[in-house]
Amino acid sequence: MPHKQQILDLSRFPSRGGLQFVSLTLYRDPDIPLALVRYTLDGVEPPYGLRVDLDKQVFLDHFDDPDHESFARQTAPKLVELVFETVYDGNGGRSLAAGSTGD
Amino acid sequence: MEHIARGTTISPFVSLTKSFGIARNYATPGASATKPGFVYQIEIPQDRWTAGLTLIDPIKEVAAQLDSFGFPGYQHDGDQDFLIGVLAPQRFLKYTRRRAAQRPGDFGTPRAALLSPQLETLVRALRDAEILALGVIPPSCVVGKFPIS
Repeated sequence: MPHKQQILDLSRFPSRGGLQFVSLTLYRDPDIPLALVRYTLDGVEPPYGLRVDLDKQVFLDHFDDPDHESFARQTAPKLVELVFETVYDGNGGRSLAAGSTGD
Repeated sequence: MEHIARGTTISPFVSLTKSFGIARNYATPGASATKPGFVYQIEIPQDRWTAGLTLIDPIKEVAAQLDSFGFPGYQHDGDQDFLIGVLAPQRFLKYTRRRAAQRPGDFGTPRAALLSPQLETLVRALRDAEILALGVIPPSCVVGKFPIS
């Protein structure tokens, strides 16, 4: 089923140990409670991103490196909060105004 | 419960779903025509359950441990739409943040409705039509593979 993709910029999120989150892609209309987070490690973007469960506020995919994994676990709720605030108006409203959209 | 509700990785279980739509949604993020995601159809005969593989219905497992009449119990004390907020907080977070009603004359700290780990686990398991597998799923049980893009 095709979704509209909405991309949020994460480049201003803090980085740690060479791990920098770059963007978060939402899949909307119909919405699914999962998003894709792109990231770089030491400036290099791996071919696959990390899925995040927006309801549970956790990453579904994981790092082998414990420091990166710890940082990702700490960051996941902040990413979800960003989605709440910028996409759902922080109150469950619907908005496609933030970020960019595409098929 | 931690595996289902909090996505902890410190768990021996593998999550499966009985819904193709849910499996498709899990395979969607990052999928494209050139790099599709995949949904695998698995059929596990009951006689395989004893060969190092067990399937668990988390609803039955959690429900069997519930105290229906104790306090605070697993029930929430919010409005009817509180559960909508638990089920889909992205879209309906406001229902979990709403102040729980108190009886006239009651005192106490204003708060949102109670959400127990048991209820949260039940909701998440129901959301995903989830079945847990404990053990190794033999390759012979994989009977279908569907690309998602």
